[in-house]
Amino acid sequence: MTTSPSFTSTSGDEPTRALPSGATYVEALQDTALCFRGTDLAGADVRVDALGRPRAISGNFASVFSVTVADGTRYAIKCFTREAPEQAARYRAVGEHLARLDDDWTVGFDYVAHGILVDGAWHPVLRMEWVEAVNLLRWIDRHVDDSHAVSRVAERFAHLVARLAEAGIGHGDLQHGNLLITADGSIKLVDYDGVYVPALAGLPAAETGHRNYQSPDRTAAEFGPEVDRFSSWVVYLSLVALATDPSLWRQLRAEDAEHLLLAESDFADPAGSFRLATLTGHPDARLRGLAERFQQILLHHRAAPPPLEPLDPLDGVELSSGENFGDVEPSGPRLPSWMVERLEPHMPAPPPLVRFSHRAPALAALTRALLVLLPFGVPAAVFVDEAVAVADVSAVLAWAAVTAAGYRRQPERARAREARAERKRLANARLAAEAQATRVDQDARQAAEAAERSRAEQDRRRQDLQQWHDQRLRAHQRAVKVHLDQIDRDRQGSAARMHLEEQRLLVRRQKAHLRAELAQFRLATAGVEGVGPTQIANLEAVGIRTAADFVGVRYEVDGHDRVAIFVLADGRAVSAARVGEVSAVLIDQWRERRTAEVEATRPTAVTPVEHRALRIRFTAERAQLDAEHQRVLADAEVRFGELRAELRAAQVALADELKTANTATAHTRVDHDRAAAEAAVRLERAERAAAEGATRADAFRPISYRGYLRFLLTGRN
Amino acid sequence: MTYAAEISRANPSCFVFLVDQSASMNDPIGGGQQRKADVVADAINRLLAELSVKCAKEEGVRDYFHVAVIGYGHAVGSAFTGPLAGRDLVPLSQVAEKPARVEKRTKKVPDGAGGLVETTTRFPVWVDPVANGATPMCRALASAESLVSDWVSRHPDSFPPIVLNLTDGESTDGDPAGAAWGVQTHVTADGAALLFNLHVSAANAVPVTFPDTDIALPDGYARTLFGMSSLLPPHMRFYALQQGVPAEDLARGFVYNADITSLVQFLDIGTRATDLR
Repeated sequence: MTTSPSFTSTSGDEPTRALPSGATYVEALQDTALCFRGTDLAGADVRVDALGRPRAISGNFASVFSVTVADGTRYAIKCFTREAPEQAARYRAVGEHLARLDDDWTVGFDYVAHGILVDGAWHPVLRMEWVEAVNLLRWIDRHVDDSHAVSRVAERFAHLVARLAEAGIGHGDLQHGNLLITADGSIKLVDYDGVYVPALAGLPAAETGHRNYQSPDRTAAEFGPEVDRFSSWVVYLSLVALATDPSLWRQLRAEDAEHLLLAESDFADPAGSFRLATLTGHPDARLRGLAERFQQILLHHRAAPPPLEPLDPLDGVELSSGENFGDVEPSGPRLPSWMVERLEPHMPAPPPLVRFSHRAPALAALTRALLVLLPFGVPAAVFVDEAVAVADVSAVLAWAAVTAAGYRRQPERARAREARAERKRLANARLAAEAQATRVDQDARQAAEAAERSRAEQDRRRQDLQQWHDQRLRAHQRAVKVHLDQIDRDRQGSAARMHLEEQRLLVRRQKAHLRAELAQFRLATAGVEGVGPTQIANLEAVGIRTAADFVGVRYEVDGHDRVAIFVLADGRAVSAARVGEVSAVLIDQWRERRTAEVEATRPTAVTPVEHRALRIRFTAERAQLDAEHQRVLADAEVRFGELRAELRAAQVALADELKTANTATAHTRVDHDRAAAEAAVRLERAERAAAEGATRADAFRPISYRGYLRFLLTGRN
Repeated sequence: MTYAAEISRANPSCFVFLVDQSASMNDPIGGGQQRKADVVADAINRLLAELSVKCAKEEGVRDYFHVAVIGYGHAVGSAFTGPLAGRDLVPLSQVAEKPARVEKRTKKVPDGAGGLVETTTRFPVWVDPVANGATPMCRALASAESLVSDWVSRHPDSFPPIVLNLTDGESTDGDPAGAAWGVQTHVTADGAALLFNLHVSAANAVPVTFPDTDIALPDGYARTLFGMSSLLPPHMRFYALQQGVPAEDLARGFVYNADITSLVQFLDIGTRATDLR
């Protein structure tokens, strides 16, 4: 760490191209000879992570890397990941202003416009001195139980806030990450991206700060020396509260939460804030007062809070820079007066027993006299006179009355009563807190169960919707299939008909061929054995000239003779004179031989003309069916699209409905979770208060009527 | 106001990456030589590296997010390789610490003086390119839904989970729209889970980033993925605009053949959600 920080800024011709991402800088920084080429950082060592890659510390607007040059000087190099308007000009103004101050909270920086080469383009970097320090959250994590150290940081913080105001500076983002605590306990303020200095008057703020430190009303338009007022209240109140009561660190924030004791939700809804209520209801009066003041600010002056009002006048504070309370036990430097004056230490030792202090001499004498005389009273009453008994009783009663009155007048007795009443009240409060915690737990359990049921119900509804769609889809697919099957059957029928038709034509052609060919075989020239001209003439007379003229022969019995009957091509039956059975058989064999010869050469297909005619006829039919098939498919696709669109619409509607229901569930669960956490803290605090109340009341153990009598009698208690 | 919840270690959010590992991812991306599977694996590894840098603080990477990478192809399951293999949601600090390996990649970059110079960078790898089997996108989305559903019931106040699906779009196990809506029914008090899609396509069409209509999209897969994608929350739209990406009021978390790693830069950690100006 250098003692005299420098602040410079090179010319501000800012690059216009989009800034690299954090990971892109990590890549570039793996070759510092290249990315810092021509600068004194060329070849410097970059601190790396376990993977050997440059180790980043990232914020929302930049990543910072630790870079060490050859002479051992270590820098923090800030690489920007989001555009900031007029960045160079702002840094120049801030640098010039800070250079005029001699404050120890500042950290020196150089704004370098040509800072780092990434993928061939130069981008600006902020080169800062490296500060060995830890941020406020981690510092508190380590030191929260050291109330003295915490209270001194609170003092120093108030001092820092006053210095900033004096110098006319607004940091813009006062928060744990930008408040670093060094080993000697001093505070360094880092990250000057959003700093206001008078030269920047009129510009808007470059950023609006960490959500857990800023007024919900803050906008970029507010940019001036007052910009840190709200956040300084948040930080200071938290530090004072922690110095007063370290248990708040665990009670008012989740482990690792990124805020001090108050957060965004407390600023947004101060009336409903448990954390704020815990602070304003704290047993410690000074903390309570400070918290109440901040509550008033939240309720009435949230947009324009007043300056921080530290508990001690600041001019009384001396901060010795040499003191060391980082990790070393503090060695008796002075405490802020609000710490010294605190009436209730955090964990009080059991108070000493309270004793009676004032003994009325007359009453003591009377008591002693009575004690001496009383043993004589009873025998006197028995043996002397009943009147003595009356006197005895009266005397005892009177003594009792007087001592009781004396006891009541004792100042210790009033305090004892108060302490006992307080003990009872705190014990009752503890019981109430216990009951509340149980109730809240039950509510949370019920809410979780309801959420579980609602989840099952939602699953069911989504399944129902899917089933409804699947059924409709199946019905649609069935109808389409039925239709397509019908078309397929029609296609098959058409093909079968065409085949039949073709066969029919073929058979006709074959028959015609057979007849024509057989007609060429004349019986007259056939030379059938035993068939002479007479028979030929007779056969011709009945119409049989060629092999085509008859198709067969049958035989009928006429008396003793068998007569050959010729069956003509047209089906008629004739017989020819003088053509006997033997001749007829031979003639028929001739015809069969000829037929067999002709059949061997018969046509096997229809004629091309016939074929074309057939094809034209059936192609038209087929095309019609194909068209219908296409139409059915297209319709099916359209309908499928409609069904899907309807499903999607139904899904969107259902999703919206479920989303609404689940949003309500989430809110309920968040409320229950918060209530449960708060109830647990309330119970813890009530238990502690009850225990402390009991301890305080126990100190008054000696303060009782009996004790008083003993005190009267002996003077001891 | 939704999508404004603080992302912190005490109230972390979650990222579920879905990586298409089907056989069709072997095809080259439109207008390039790289396989789609390589493009997608590279995108995931860059996203994880970017997220780790974004969440790095003094003491190391903080668990602002828990991250799952689910691959879908011949099976649906964790796509992590190396020490995280088989795991679903992993705290970011462990992701940052445990890549499968750190590759040394050599590339030529401009030296700022008009020339090129070779430089070596260490590139952590968590997910390897895989291209094998069908595209069971519905099952992948259902798997993401179960992680998201479980997350929101355990973190009802967190920034809503973000599911980022990297795919070539051709679901083989049904219409993914229903499963996509299913993911988005799970809400925290800060809003519904966000589903974003990166469509890597073999078609050589104009890259599209955060469109508000599907008119210019080249095919039905792209239109389906567009329809499945959540609207960009206002602050993300703001950062997109800041980076020069025109993102209209109804812009969706859908990117076609373009870079998606900028998404990480849209996340706000710590500061208040920036309003659209």
